[in-house]
Amino acid sequence: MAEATPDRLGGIGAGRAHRTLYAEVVVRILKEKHLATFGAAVVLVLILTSIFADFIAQYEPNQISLKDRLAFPTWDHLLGTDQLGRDLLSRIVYGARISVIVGLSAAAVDTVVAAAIGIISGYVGGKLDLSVQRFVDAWMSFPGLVIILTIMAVLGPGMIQIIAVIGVSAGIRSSRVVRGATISVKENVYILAAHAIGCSTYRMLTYHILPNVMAPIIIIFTIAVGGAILSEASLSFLGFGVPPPAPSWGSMLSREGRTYMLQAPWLSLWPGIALSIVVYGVNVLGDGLRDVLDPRLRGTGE
Amino acid sequence: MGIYLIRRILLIVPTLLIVTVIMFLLVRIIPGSAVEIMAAEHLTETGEPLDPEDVRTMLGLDKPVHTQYGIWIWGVLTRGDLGVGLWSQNPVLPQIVKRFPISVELGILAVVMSIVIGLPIGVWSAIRQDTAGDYVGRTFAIGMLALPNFWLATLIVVFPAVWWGWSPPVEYIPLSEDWWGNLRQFIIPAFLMGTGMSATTMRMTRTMMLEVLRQDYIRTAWSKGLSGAMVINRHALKNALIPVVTVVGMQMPVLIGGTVIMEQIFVLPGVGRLVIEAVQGRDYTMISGINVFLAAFVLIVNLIVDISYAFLDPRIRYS
Amino acid sequence: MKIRNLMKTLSLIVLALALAAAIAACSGAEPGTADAPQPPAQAAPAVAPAQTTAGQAAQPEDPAPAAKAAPADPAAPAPTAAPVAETAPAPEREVAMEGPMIVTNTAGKDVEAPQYGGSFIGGWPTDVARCCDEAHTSWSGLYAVENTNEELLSGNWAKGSQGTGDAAFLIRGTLFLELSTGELAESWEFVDENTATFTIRQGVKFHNKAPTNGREMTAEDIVYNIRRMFSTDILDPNPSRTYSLYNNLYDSVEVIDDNVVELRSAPGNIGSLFQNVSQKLRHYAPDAIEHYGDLRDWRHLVGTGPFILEEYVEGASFTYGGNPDYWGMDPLLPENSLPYVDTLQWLIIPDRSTMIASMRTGKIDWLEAVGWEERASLNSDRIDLNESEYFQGGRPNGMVFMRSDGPPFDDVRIRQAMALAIDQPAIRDDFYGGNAVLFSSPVAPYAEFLPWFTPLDEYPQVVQELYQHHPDKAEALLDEAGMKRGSDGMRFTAQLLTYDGNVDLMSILQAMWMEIGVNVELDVKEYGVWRSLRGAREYTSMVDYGFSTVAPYLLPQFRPHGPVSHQGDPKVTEAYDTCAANLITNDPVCQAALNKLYPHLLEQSWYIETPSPKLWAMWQPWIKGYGGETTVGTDETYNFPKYVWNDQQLKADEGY
Repeated sequence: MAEATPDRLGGIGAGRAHRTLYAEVVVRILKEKHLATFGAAVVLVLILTSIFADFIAQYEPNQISLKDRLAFPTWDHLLGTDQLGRDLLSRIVYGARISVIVGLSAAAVDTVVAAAIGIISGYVGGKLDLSVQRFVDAWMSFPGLVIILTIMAVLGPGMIQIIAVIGVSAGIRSSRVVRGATISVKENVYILAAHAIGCSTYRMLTYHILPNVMAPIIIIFTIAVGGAILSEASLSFLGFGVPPPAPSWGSMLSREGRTYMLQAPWLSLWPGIALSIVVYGVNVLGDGLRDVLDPRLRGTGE
Repeated sequence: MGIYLIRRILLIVPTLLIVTVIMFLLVRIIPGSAVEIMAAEHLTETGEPLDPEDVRTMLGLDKPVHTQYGIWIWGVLTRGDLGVGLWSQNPVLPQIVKRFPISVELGILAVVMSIVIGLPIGVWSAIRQDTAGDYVGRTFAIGMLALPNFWLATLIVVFPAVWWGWSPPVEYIPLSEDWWGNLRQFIIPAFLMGTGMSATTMRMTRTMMLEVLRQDYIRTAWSKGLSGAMVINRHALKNALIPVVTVVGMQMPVLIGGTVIMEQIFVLPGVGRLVIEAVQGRDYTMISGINVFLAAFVLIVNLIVDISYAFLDPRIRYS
Repeated sequence: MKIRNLMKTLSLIVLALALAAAIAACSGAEPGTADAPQPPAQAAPAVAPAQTTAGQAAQPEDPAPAAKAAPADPAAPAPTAAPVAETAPAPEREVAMEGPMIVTNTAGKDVEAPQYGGSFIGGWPTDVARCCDEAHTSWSGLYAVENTNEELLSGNWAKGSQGTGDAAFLIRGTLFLELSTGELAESWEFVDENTATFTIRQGVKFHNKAPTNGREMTAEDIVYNIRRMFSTDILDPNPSRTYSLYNNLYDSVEVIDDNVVELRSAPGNIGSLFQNVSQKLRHYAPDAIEHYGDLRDWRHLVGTGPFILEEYVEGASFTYGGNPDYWGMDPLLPENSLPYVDTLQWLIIPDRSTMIASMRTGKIDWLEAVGWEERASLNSDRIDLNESEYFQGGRPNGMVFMRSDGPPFDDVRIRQAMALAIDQPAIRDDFYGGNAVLFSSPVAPYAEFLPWFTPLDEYPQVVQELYQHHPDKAEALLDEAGMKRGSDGMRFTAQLLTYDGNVDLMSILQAMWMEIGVNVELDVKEYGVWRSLRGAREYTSMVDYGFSTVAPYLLPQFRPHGPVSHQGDPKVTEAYDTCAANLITNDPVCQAALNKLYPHLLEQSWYIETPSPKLWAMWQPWIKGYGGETTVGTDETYNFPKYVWNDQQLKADEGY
């Protein structure tokens, strides 16, 4: 089941020399971190579901059947139907795809932004670092949801906007962590040595700094996935989520789920459960990774 | 210490300036279509067509950007004038100031809740590391984080009303009039926000406790034969708490953001509601006013947290 | 391993709990229906019997809104609409029934004698924009001053549900003079085609607060307010749209005798001007305006109305106290002074779940625009709630307009085909559970507008078919118009601008158009953007729209410069001009012109009307002397609280 995980981790631009480290991480997680293993399994299932949604789902997610509206779960509709008679199981399955797209893309944007700002600011230091950090300070002082709403108001709703806004906004915040790691790596002897033999800046950054700050970057990525999925749900509640009729879990939960909470509680129950399990899984996986990867916390975890 | 303080305070000034620049530019890069939307809005509101160019003039977008910024920041600095609402033509700042205490109260109560929930679980998880209790506690805390709080809030609004004829209060009672009535109104949203935050508090407490519990002085305390409660309370917790306090302080921006949803569901007329109204009405002056105001507030809170951190923790010496 | 097992057990427990909660919730919501809840079939027939219990003036037309609840007849148990009538009639009701004093009102009805005191608390979904000065406010801003400031004319309460029942008073729109009565004006007269006079009521006092301190209102005050509204220099950058539109109608206003005011219009426009001045313009204390500059601060608001604004917490609530010096008497019980309740409160509750829960638990007394599913939910445990049924006269959405200024919709056959593809009865029966009216345009069949309304079956066959489901005809028309199915089975593609709140309905239409080979892409915007774009006509081919289905209000929508029209049809223009010239002063001429126009209007199929969903105003059983009116007058939304009273004993007995 969990064999696919190493590919996923290894895929994030790790140098060849670090392959073994990541294999070790996977083994440690499987052996020691049961919650994290559970989280990894959840993530795996989620990704598989989103890839094979077309095969798993019995119906089209937007196939309307007014005669069957708000049907209690039956054999025809295992999880029941919503207010337009759309099959909830199919919508949940296709919703996984949206969650994966929003979650992974936003997390990727987040990570790239965090890494770019953090590494450059930390590595170059001096005046650049000082001014970039004032910018990051300023950005971090904007209340999260408020600034996201603000940008959404400027850009208008849409999936791409959501991904960009959530990703960039969180990325600027988490660049702090990468910067810290970069600065501590910079002080290391081998970096000084590399400097001495005249490595180019590009080479320094990609071959020496980046691999060594990979641990916090991976942690940022995993935590960002859950955060992005939850943010999309919150935005849906406020009317700025992925526009309907797309079957996003957030909008299923916040729109029809809330409207029909009394008459048809399953409308909010299933997307709620799906969303919670995924966010929970991603979070415990992130926790586990942090325990394993972060040397400062090594041994303090489970 | 004194120098640190002054430096720390001075650092806020450029940050605040950047805040205003970011907000200013953000609102000014409104794509053309948004200006047209506003022109259309004017048509709907007044029945008179409006040239998009006039909207640009109305927003002051026809002047060069640095001139616009100069005019705006001058107003902010000299008169504390964040502008007037685009449609209402009412000054923005008084409206924010009027609503802000409500959000702050909600935020503070939420912090208290998160400590009340997160701290014991964190301590428990640390002492009983890797037991079932640890797992249950952590699962609870992270689980609460994983539930969208608007969903929990809806459960609380909808079901007790049917089952027991109870629903949350809907008439806003100011704190100054009736603190008990006020508290009853705030306690549920604060609890819901607190549970979400408690995951972070719990994790931080747990990690810090684990670290502290391994320290020599704790071992010494154990070996002196002090009771478990004594060691935990007097020695470990006290020392583990300091970074926890910082983290709680750092959560302020997240917290203020979170009030948006809770204020909507629990009928609290705070600044979060103002945000929603402004965003829905595309009142860009109001939106940027709120953002600048909140950012300034967050910066000041962080400053206070930092400074108190320095006072609290004797190990930290700033130079 | 151990931990794995533990986790498994845990997740099983959580699942079991969730299921239990779900089951408990279902059975709670739909007692008696174990699975598949199907409120549609059960809820629909409830309306008819309710009407008869109410003992009101017979409402001849089936789709006509019928006030169902019978506060006028307290002995009858609350008419029940829900399928769960027998489950829970509150036993306390009997206590309350012991001996209400019965009096006969001027309409000859025996009603429970009203009691003074108590409060009336209504729920509003949004805060008003820009309280409280009419010269600076928006439509919604007027809601806040509806009970504090009065107009020259108002709706005649004695013609409402508690009286003769001639008027439903449910929609903002045009009210005919025969249903009106003097408010600040005692009487009025049309002198010639450019002139009207008002005799101003004597003994009306401004609120007893600074700076008027309860002084008597004079004809000068009336003139001051009218001049202020039509003077262009007081209007700020956001002029009240009510008046900026009508400035060209106005000529002058003078006090010509002690208490007589003469209003003059631009030639031939006295009807429109009269309507705007007498039924839309609220009067404020000039002293306060002079003293404060304007009345945008709610503390400065001074009027003559039945309530005095005591507190406005922005985003939260409006609280009013009764005006002890109010001049008005109950038109149905002339010895009773108004208002009955001591306190009027509007609570702003933006979240719908919270709003419904507050109604359920008695935290608010009154709520309007309750949808059929919300109503079924409320009725599942609160069958004692009173209600009146209506459907929106001004629909915010659900009418799909097609751009007729370019292909493909410049071809009437294609427009008709789009309409024929829609299975209207299926939408009514399955999507709205039968709680919708198929045909309610161009004029809504309200009691007031019945003379203006032609039932569908009196229209030509071609119009009738547009409201039925004829996919074959639709396909034939499209073939005929040259829109043949392509190799992929599709004929053409169109874009439909809609907003997130109405996507459900639009998705249904989308699926139906797909059946005839038309691919309609939904362009889903957020509410504010959608509203703006449609207002500015910024849409490619189709738009989800709505308009007021109240007679003379309708036609501006079809004018070349109206917000929707893209056709500038000569027949429409002609009818509009006829109406504009004869409005108020000569209604039958306008009526005849419109009735002549309607078949043409509908046959052109410029818009597709989807069934109009029924809505309910609901109120607690202790609110009495009320039948669900919302707008007693042309433009006086929410001005009814002065007529209603609160049975505090009943409220206490029921435990609220």
